[in-house]
Amino acid sequence: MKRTSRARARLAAAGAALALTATACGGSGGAGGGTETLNMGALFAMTGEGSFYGDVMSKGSQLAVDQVNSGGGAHGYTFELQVEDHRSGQVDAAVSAARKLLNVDGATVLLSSFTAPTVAVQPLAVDQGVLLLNGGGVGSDLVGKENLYNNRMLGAQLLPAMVSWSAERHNAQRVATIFWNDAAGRSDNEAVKQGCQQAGCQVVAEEPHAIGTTDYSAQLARIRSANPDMLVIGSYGNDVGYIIQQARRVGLTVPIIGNEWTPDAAKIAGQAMEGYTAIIDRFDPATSDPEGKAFAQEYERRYGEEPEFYAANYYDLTRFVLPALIKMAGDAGEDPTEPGVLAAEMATAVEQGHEFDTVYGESMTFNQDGTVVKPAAVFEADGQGQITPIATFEDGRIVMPGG
Amino acid sequence: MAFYVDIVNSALIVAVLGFSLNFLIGYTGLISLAQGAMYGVGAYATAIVATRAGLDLPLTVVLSVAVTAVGYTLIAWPALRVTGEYLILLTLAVQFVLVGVYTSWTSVTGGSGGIAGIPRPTWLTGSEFPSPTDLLPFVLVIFFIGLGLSLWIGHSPFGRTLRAVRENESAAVSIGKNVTYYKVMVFLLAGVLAGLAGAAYAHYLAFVSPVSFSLDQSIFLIAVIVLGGAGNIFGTVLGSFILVGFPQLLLLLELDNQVAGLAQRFAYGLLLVLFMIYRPQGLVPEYLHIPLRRVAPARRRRDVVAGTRRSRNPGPPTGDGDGDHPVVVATELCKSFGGVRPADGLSLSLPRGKITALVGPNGAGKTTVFNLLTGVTSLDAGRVELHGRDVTDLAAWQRTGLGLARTFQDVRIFGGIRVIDNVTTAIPDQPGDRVSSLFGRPWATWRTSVDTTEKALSYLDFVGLADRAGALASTLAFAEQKLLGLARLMATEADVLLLDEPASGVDRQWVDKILELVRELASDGRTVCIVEHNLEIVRALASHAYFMDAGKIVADGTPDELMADPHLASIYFGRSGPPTEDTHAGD
Amino acid sequence: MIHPATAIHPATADFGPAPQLAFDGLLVGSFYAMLAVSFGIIFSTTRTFHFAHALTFTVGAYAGVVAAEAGLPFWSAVLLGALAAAFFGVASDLLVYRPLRRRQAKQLNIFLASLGFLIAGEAVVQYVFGPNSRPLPSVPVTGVQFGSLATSSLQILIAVVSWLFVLLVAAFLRWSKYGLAIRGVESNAVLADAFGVSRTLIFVLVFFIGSFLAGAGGVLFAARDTATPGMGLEPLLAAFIAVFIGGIGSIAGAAVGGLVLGFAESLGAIVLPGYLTNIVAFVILFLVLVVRPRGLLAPRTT
Repeated sequence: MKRTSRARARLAAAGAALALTATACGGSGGAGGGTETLNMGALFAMTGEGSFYGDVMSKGSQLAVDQVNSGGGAHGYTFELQVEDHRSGQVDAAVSAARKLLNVDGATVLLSSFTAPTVAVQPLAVDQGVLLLNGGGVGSDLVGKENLYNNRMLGAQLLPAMVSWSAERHNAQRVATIFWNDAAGRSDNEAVKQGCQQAGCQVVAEEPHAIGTTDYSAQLARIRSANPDMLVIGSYGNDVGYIIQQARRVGLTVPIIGNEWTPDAAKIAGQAMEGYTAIIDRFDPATSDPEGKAFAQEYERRYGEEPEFYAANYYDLTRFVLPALIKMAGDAGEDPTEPGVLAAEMATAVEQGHEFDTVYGESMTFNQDGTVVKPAAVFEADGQGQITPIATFEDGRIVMPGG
Repeated sequence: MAFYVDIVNSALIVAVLGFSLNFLIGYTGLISLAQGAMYGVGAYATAIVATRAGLDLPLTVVLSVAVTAVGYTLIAWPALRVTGEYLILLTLAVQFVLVGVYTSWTSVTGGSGGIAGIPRPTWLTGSEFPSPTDLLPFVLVIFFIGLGLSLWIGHSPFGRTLRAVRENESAAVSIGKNVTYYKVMVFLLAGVLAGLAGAAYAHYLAFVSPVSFSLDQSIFLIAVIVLGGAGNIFGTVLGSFILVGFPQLLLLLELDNQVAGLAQRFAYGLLLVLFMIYRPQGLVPEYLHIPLRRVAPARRRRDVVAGTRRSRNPGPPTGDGDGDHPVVVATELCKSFGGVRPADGLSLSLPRGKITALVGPNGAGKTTVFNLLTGVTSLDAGRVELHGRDVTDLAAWQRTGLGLARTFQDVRIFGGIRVIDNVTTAIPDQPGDRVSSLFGRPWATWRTSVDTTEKALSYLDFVGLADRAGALASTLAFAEQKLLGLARLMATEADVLLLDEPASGVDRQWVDKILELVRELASDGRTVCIVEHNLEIVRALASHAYFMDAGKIVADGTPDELMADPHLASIYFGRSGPPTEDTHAGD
Repeated sequence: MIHPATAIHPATADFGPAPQLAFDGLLVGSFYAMLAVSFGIIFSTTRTFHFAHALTFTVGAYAGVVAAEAGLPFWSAVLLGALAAAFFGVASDLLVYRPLRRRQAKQLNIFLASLGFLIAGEAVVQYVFGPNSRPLPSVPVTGVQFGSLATSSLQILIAVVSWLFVLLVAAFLRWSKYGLAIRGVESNAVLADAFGVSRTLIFVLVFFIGSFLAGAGGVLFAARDTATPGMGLEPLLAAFIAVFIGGIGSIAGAAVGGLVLGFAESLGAIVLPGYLTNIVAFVILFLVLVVRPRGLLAPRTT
């Protein structure tokens, strides 16, 4: 990836006019000569079933790196990004790749994805004083870990409001859940129950399933026999697509809601996706927010596709969070490439409730436990692989525009 | 630096896991596709007791070893009943069920999220977040325990017997080996080593989750074994360093991730195919250095022949002079396979120091009689006595231990091991041939190894194969294999020898040599019984013969008497048919 | 971090969905039956532990997807996928297994070579087609209801096609000249040689037939779900298990094994949480191997 990243840097310089628009709003003017290099490492799913994620995450973060560098660096530091593969969640691969990133490439920041690899490399990050940033993994194991910050909203934060709002909207009394049989899925399931308590509905079926399953007939048969009037999905990735497709095929016509949507899942479900609503990090490529717009345009120009929220998350981390931390370090007279400095600055920023810029519009802050607070929204999918926002998530409540 | 030390550490742990699998696949020929999952048993055991009960080294390791050993031994029970592709399937099933347990039993294993925060051996490394370099001593200790254990087992009489079991189970039984015992024990030892590796992994990584113990891991480990060389401990070390290190070092080339990842998978798969076709023995062959310690045959031939036979249960009235007292008495043996009755109320007795022959037309049931006498085939009815003791209920390997041993018409030497080891492994009562003495009497095991080699060489010398001692037995000519079969039979120190067509299928000059050897064995007071189709040989050897037809003894007497009987001659020559009795399935 | 698992699923049996589950079991069992026959005919004739049959399945599926993407109608895509798989299967026999047999390789080594072939092949598939799932375009699917039972038209189609193929193969083995030859090789290789049947030709033939079925299965599977590079492993594990449950060497045994497996997996969901149903297959396999190693319906030969 190093070779390609340099080639891309040249490419990006050619299109600097566009990129500069973004830099101007990014709040990262070059202070000083801008000759020092800050090494970043990334652990993504470059191969295996999850390589959709690796693809968009590396695109999002690489775009941010190139924009920072072509804008003269972030407060005296240019970024050098090295991406390694954790083969869609293999912890051994993740740990050895992390060692390589930290010890051979000298990375002082680690971008990570997926729950298990992130948890596995977290002790290394603490040991070497490295800041660990995750914008994809959703497991509850990621909460409350030293040096680890997540900028993807978790099901536990979003689903209670989503469930009670949807139950009222569809007048649903009997709710069924289908979810990943892991910590993330199970905490989603608990969140659904919590939401149901608020709305006064009843959970009539709870069906955990193995991650990556493609056949849901057993779960769906049981759900159907429980006769629900709403289905909540606590699963991620392609699984969402298969569940919706098969639910519709066996004649389950009730509203389906969840907190995940990917273009790939939409492709799998095809027409069946129509009407599915999901509460996710509110990234809308058609946003009016200037940072978001610049990101979406440049991303589409460069990669020929619209960005989705996973790309946006890693773009945010690289484009806004890191430069802000480097600035804080510089103001305090410290060297951000020294072990522990960036992590300490992040802890301070979180404590002070620092508002980071974001392509989601407005700003984002982090909680002490490493979770994020930022705009989220309810999106409705059509049968053609598109989603449109229908309501926003504010202060723990869902608000319809104009109501 | 830490990056490279990490590679070394990972390879060392994989090597210990590889030793475990090498004993199953390489030594004993038992395929296990459950190695990844069993590794998980060890790792989870440490992870759970360390995080839940706060246990520390070395107690975690001990516990992991114990749990994994018990687990693998439990697999041995069904595995004893199946071989080949059935064993592949069986262990595959175990692999999937165990991973299912790891993923689903969330309250204990943490589900697919795994268990994080496993304490590192801080008192050993001096830090809560040690670097790979800090952990290197810990991993090295584990590795050397594993290596030492493996070398000790692998080069012991026990290890040699495992190889014999791999080469031919029925032949291993015929030299008095309890095959069931060896299989159970090798699963247990594999569990010990896998538990060691699992505990090391859990402490080293401080995190366990099901993906590390998947079928992929099992396949990877098999690849380590076959690439390095099955049956060789050092081959396993080489295999782990290559297969663990190579992909890691490739990271340094900074290739495009997606292409590099796929190219690596492709190369890995292709390598497996090519190795299986062109170099199935792996990089390091099983016997790296063929040369033997040169031991001059200290005993004279006569000593060998006369000195080392035994009957641990000498029957009551047998003086050396009383040569005609029967040593083996079989009464009313009955056996039927479906409609066929290869033994139908058959009785015979074998006197000491004499050569008795069993003759009859093809299909008369002669080989079956041997199978019934040695206990390879169970009796429907009847009774077998050895030195006056009823051995009817004893297993075949036990009868060999009491001095009743046999050869096979199709030889069944242990082709894949050395000529000398074919003989050495048959010598009874070696310290270190069982796990109890291997670890209970290490000094005796070590000391007697020279003696047994010397003894084996003298047997080889007796049959004239001493100069081929270091060769692989499969490289011998057929006649030489027959001689080796005789040497192996002698090495069991049995005093009742059942020889199944000892001279069939060999050239004339070899026949004479073999006949002379057989005569020599009998003249030293052993009891010999031959099944032979060639009447000339029967006449040349036997003093007494039983004539068998359709599962019954129809006549007995001297060979000359029998041959003079025209009725018997018509039975003998009057029929022709496919040779079914000797290729009987199931033995 | 660790949640109490017991809270999720009370261990009480719920028979409400039982009819639907039995129906699903019949449908998926039919598909398994075809896959089991496809592997069984190869394994019982050649005794090759053809793990790379999973790759044949995948190759067939992608060939079907490419054909459908090029605008060919559904049935042509199925046929093309099956043919591509058939030729691929024969090629794998000639390129991988024949050299091994010539060298008298051990069962373990043939199995490992097969595994290696599968690993390498999956990497190539992923390189060519990308790692993401590829749906088969323009599949005719509608929901179908029989009283309280629901499924899709595609599932019914898959089941019907599966039985059609099983019966065709059974008829071929029963009545055609080559079928007799195949059964001859199955029961006694020496005898078959004596009848003047070329073993090589028979091997090529069974690889062709078995792979054809696997390829058709691959395209149908891609139509139901999607095509992914690693799609072959799970269905083919089901096929192996079905063959060993039913007993090697019998087409009827393999088909029944597939049905039994489908029912067991599906009905297991009455008492087990859904995520455990794919373990059911392996538990059954384990029990069969322990209790009756030669299979439930093994033919009575020595």
